[in-house]
Amino acid sequence: MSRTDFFLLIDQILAAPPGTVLGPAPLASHPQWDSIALLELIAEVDKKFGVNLPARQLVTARTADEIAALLGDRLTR
Amino acid sequence: MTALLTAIEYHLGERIETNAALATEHPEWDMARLVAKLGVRQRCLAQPGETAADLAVRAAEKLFATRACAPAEIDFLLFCTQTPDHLIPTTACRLQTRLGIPTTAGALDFNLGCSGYIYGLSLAKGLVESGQARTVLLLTGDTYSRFIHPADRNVRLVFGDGASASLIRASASGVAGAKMSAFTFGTDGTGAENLIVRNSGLRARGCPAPGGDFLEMNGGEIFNFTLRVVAPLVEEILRRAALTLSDLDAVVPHQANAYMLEHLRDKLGVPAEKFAVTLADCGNTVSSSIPAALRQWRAEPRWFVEKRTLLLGFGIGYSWGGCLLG
Repeated sequence: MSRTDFFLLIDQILAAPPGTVLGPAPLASHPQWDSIALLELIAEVDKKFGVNLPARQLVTARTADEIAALLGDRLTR
Repeated sequence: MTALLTAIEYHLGERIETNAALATEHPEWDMARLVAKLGVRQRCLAQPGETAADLAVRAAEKLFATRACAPAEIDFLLFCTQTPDHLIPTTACRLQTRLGIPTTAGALDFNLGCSGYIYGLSLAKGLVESGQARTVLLLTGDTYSRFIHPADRNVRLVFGDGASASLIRASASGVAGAKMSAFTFGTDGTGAENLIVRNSGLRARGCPAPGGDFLEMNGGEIFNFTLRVVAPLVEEILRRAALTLSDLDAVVPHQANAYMLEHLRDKLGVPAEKFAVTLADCGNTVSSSIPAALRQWRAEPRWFVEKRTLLLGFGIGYSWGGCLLG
C-alpha cells in the first residue's frame, strides 16, 4: 500500500473528505478520531499488513504522518 | 469416567438501558455510529443492590426448574466472578446455602473475566474425571455496571450484567451431554493494566488511585491482544483435536463487541452462519457471555449436545482459553 492510499484509508475511517489528514489540523481535532477509529485502523492494518499497530502510540500520534511512520517500509512512496 | 456438559441456563440483569436513553443523557455521543460499530442496542443491568450472586441464583433456579438436576445432586459448586458479594467470605459458600446444595458439596470462587467459562469447564471436567465429584454446578456472574463511570463511553456502551448456570455430570449419570476436549490456555500478565479497576482490591487500600473505582479499558491494546492470541489459540485447539475449521458446526466466542468479533471471524475464516454473535440486546456479560450465547443462539436449548462447537474466551488479565464441545 502506498502512503497516499494509507492516508486515504484514515480519511475514510474518519468519514472525512480525501486529503483531510494531510492538512495541518492535528488528528485529535477530528471529531471522529476516537477509540472506535483506533479499532478500525488497527483492524485494517492487521488485515492489510498482518501487523499490530501499538495502541498507545496511536493514541499519542499527533498526525497521520506519525502513524505512517509506525509502518515504516511497509508503505511505498 | 467422562464429564459431560448437560445443561445451561442464564439470567440477565432486568434493568434495561437503551441507547435512546444514553443518547438523551449524552447528546454529544454519536449513537448511530457507535451502535453500528459496537453492535449493542441495549444493556441488561442489575438492579440497584443486586449482586452477581443474586443473578447467579436466578440462573441456577432456572436450571433446576428445567429438572436437569436437583440441588441435592450437586456435589461441587464453582462460581466464577470478579464482583463477589465480599472478598471474605467466599461467595460460593453463601450460594451453597441459598441454593439448598448439600453441605457435603465442595464450593469455591474463582476470579477470571472473559476467559472464565472455559477455565470453569476445565475445572469441572477435572473434578468429574478424577472421581472427586459427579455433578458440578458451574456458575458465572458479574455486575460490571458497578464499575462503569457514567461518562465513559468506551465501557458504558459495551458491558451488561448477567449470570449463567451450567451442569457438568459424569457420563455414568445416563444424561446426554457434550464432551469437552482440547482445552488450551494462555496467560500474559503484562496486559493487566489494560482492563482494570485499580481500587478493587487491597493493593490500593490506604492510597486509592484517583478515579480508580471505575473500570479502565484500553480498547486498542485489548484488540491487539485478541489479534495476537485468538488465531493461534484456534490453531492449537484444532491441532490437539486433529480437526480442521471446516469440521466445526459452530464457533461461540466471548461476546466482546461486534466490531472485534466480525474482524476475528473474518481473520479466522469462519462463515457467519457458524459464528455466534448474541450481544446486541444484552451487552458483554464477561464470563457469562459464552454460556449465555450457547444457550440463546439456537431455539433448541441443548443444541450444543449434538454439535461440534469451538468455545473461545479471551480478555482481562490477559487470560485466554478455548475448548471443543461435542
